[in-house]
Amino acid sequence: MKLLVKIPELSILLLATLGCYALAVYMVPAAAAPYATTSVMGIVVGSFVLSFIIAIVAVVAGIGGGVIFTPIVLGFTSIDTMIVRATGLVVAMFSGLISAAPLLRQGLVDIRLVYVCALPTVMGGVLGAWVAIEVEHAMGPQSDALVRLLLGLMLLGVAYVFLSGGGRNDYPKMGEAKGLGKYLGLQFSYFETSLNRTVSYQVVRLGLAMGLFLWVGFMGGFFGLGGGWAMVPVLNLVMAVPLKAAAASSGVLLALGNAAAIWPYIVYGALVPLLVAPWMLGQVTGGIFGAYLLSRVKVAVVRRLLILMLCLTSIKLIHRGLQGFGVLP
Amino acid sequence: MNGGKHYGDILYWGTMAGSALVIVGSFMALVLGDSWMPIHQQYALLMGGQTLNHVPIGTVEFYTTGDGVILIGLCAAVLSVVPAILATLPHLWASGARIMALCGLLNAVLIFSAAVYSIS
Repeated sequence: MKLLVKIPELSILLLATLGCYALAVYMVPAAAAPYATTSVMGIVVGSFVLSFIIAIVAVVAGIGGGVIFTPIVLGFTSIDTMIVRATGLVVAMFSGLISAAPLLRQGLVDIRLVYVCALPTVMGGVLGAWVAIEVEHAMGPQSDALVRLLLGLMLLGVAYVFLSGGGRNDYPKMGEAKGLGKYLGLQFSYFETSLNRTVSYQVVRLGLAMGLFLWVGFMGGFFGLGGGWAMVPVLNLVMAVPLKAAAASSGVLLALGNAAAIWPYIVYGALVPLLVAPWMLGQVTGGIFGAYLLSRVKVAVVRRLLILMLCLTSIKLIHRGLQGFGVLP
Repeated sequence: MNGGKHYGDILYWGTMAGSALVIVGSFMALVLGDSWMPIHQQYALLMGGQTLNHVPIGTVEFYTTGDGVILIGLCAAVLSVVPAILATLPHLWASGARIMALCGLLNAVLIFSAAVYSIS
């Protein structure tokens, strides 16, 4: 409640959204089959609530919402894969867009680091989105099965990254400045309140990281996942960015990277406004709540739940993918 | 000071403005029934795995419907990234981070080009 008083625009947005949906439920006369008004509004309100929860989990766990949304909807509904992936990019980017301001103000994110890392991510994202559309053109209905199968396999890898923790390093030792990182002067610092001191870090292995960001952007654009799940390990393990700054930078980077990848899907007509609207509004409102809850929630619990969900969803996706190819009944 | 605050603030309010338009569009479509295709039909097709034969984003009439207003809101929020980047460039340039300023400019050009190419 305190948050709603502190941020009046959030209260207005939440009230307007809920008011609009309440009016739609109570004032619109029931329509004919096959989809009655109550069913449609059930999906709309359900999408908003689910998106709100996903945004909170995504911000707390330091990942984009796309990695939760896209596999669940692809695994458990029959909605066309192109439409799901387009909506997935919106889900992935909007919590990042809205949470950029407080993170930058706190000094956890440095805009210079974001711009350098965003360049390959943006290029990879657009490329991935275009390839997704070309695969759809070339393979037709079979591309659905292929996407589900590949995504299922990829999610197992993502779950492994989360499970292993990747040997993550909260505060990496200051590496020796050399190469591209030295040339660009990529040395940053932020005030760490839990330690009551300033944490400084030097970005290393920038060339390798740029290549990895190109790949992350491509996968995010192709599958509609965003790519936040891979950005934190790249920033933390490869570039030696402290974990907290890496998680915060990942969200801001995700929003910037997907801002270009979304356009090929819009041109294709895969972004269905009525479907995407409750998901977008849920991300915006949930993203603000998530940023507020970040310091109060045990991140480890959220991560374990996420791993379980990823494993179950990947099994379902692989099963549906194999069904699509006629391998399973 | 590298303009990060300006970047965050422009994105925040751009996203808020886009969200307001999305709510207006949702009201038009869901409450007033002003939609390019009846909402029940849209959902029946979507849940059945159909593609709606691609949303007609190239027609002017589309943007007078609730669906069109939602899409305008979404695009406005996404495109707020471009002025947000541009607002940081003078600060980066002045602080000597000229290569980062160029990276930012390239990002803005890429995003804007992708949008313009789509719209055209």
